[in-house]
Amino acid sequence: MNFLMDNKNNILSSSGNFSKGLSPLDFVVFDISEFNQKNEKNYSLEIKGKKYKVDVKKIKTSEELYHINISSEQKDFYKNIFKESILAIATHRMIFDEKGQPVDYIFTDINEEFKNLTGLNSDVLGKTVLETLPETEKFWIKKYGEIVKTGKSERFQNYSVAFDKWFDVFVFKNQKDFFTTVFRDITEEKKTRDDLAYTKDFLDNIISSMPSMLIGIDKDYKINEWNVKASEITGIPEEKALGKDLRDIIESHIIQNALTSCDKENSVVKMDRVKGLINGRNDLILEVLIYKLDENIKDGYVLILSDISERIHLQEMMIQNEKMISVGGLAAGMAHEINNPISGILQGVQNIKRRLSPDFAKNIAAAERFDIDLIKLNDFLDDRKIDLFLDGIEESGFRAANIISNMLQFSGKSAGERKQIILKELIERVYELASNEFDLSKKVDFKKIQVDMSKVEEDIMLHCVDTEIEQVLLNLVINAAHAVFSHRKDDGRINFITKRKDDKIFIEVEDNGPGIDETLKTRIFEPFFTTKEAGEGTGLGLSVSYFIIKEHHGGDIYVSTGEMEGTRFTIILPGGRKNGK
Amino acid sequence: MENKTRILIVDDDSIVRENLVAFLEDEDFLVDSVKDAEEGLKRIEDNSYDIAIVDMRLPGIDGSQFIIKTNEMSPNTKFIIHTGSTNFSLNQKLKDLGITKKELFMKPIRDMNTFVEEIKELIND
Repeated sequence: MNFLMDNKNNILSSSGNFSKGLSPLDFVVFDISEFNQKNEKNYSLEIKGKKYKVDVKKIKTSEELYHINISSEQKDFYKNIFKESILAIATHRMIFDEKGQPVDYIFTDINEEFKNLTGLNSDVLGKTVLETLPETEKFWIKKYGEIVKTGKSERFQNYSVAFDKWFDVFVFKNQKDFFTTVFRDITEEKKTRDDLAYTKDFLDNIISSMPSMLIGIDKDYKINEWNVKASEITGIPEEKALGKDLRDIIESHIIQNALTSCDKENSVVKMDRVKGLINGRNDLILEVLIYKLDENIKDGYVLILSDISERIHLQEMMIQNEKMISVGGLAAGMAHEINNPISGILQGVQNIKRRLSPDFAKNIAAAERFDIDLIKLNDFLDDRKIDLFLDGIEESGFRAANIISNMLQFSGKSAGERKQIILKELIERVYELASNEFDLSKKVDFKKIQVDMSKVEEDIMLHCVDTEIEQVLLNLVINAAHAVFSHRKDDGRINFITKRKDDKIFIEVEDNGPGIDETLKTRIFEPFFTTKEAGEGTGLGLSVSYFIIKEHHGGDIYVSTGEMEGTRFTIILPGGRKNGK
Repeated sequence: MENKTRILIVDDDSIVRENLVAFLEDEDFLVDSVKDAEEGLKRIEDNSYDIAIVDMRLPGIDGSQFIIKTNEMSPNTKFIIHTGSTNFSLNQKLKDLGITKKELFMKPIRDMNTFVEEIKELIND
């Protein structure tokens, strides 16, 4: 308790607890002058059998005013707290240089925990920190100096080189130049915390770097995890996705069914080749993996969606290739066997026609021997339409021969010779051929189609069997023209695009026709597959193209949806070289 | 009639064979035909032919061997290859005998006059 008293023992004001029946009046019995005379700061008094410490301080000499501070067990209590605290406590006096900058500080008191924690002992008392621990960083002195100057207490965490420890420190100013530090060792704690943070960062990194979409949801479909890939594929950033209902982003009935079976069977649900799951991304083919989280930790589900479009595409190409090779082998084998009978038909017809001719000398001679009038015979043949039937046999034979000669190209080797040609010239030739072809055909007016060759590079050289590549491109253009014309009469467009990338040459033929139905895309290269009316096409054009590109030239050909929303055929051929290089 | 060009046709397909024989006979060539190489070689032994039109896929000795053997026996005989094999290409031995792509006739031949033209060219060489 504190009180102000004058030299006549009058208590002017008081503060603090008058505990345990002790009142200021009890002190009045002691003459203030007695304390005064001894001129000592501390007195010990015993009142009512209890010991008290008494500090007397003269405040104003002229008026003989004294400030008396009496502390009892309470002081010991604090003393004990200081001594026995599980926190390290030390008091210090700051040393300032002439400029008023803090330069060092003296240990004035330390407690037991301080000793335990620092390994220092009471020897440090009266010594400065730089004497005791020279490696002490400037930081500490500067920081404490500020606190002493401003009087603002502060709590902070920092690493100390001297102890190789992290400390959580509370510092406050006691009186002029004096300050107290209360601190504890948080090295372990910090390590644990750092480890945890590292683990979390690591996990976050794993999740965000995943090449698949990883989505976490709670029981109510609210999204609580949304990785980088998920943002990338959906175009929805993490901050917008979190908290949103997953069913707003992906096809809800698929996911609801999956979650139901996930719940029922309490196992991982796997769905292969899911199409149209993500709104607005119908182009994707996804593999979906859904599993339930441990209910005891967090109720919810995790969805892993992997884009397998590319894999499926490759698989389909492989299957297609194998299919084509086996079909091609079969067709080529058949072609061979059919060549002989067709020879028989065509050559037989040729012989019959010649041997019935009334102008052929040998016929005339033979007819004379048998007394036959050749003219009349021909009239007879004409009348009975035998000429017509022979023509029919011949024409059918030619048609079969054409089909067979196309099928012959299904074999692995090309009969033609490879040459170095300028791709642009070849394409121009194809354009020329296509225009002529359509001049004869009434169905498609090639002149009405706008053909853009501005994206055909000037200087691409190609080592190829030029007649074959010509055949392929002509076939593609004719198909494109048919498609365009069936779809629109006036603004049909066909674009030729060539480019060179690395060691490969890309040739694209693109139209703005109706496009090819997704389900047909894998079949269009099959021999005899056609969407045209019977008699309009043999269905061999694209298969022949396929074999010419894949087997004869070691390239690739595939169909996709082009920029004009129609059909785009892409041909990739190996070995690009610049003109003249 | 002594100067007539003599032709031997070797083909195991009788219809192809007979048609070719008929057509070439109509063109006033002297034509013999056999169904395999063995028989063909016997004919070569006994006769001299200006031209041999040879199928490649034959039972027994194949067309290629037949040509090589014939060339040994009758170096003046010239050859036309008439084949239905899609993957046939001239091997080095045949090329060494002076056979070029021009003499390679792939079945089916739509117009047998092409044979006549080629035969005349070979004879006038």
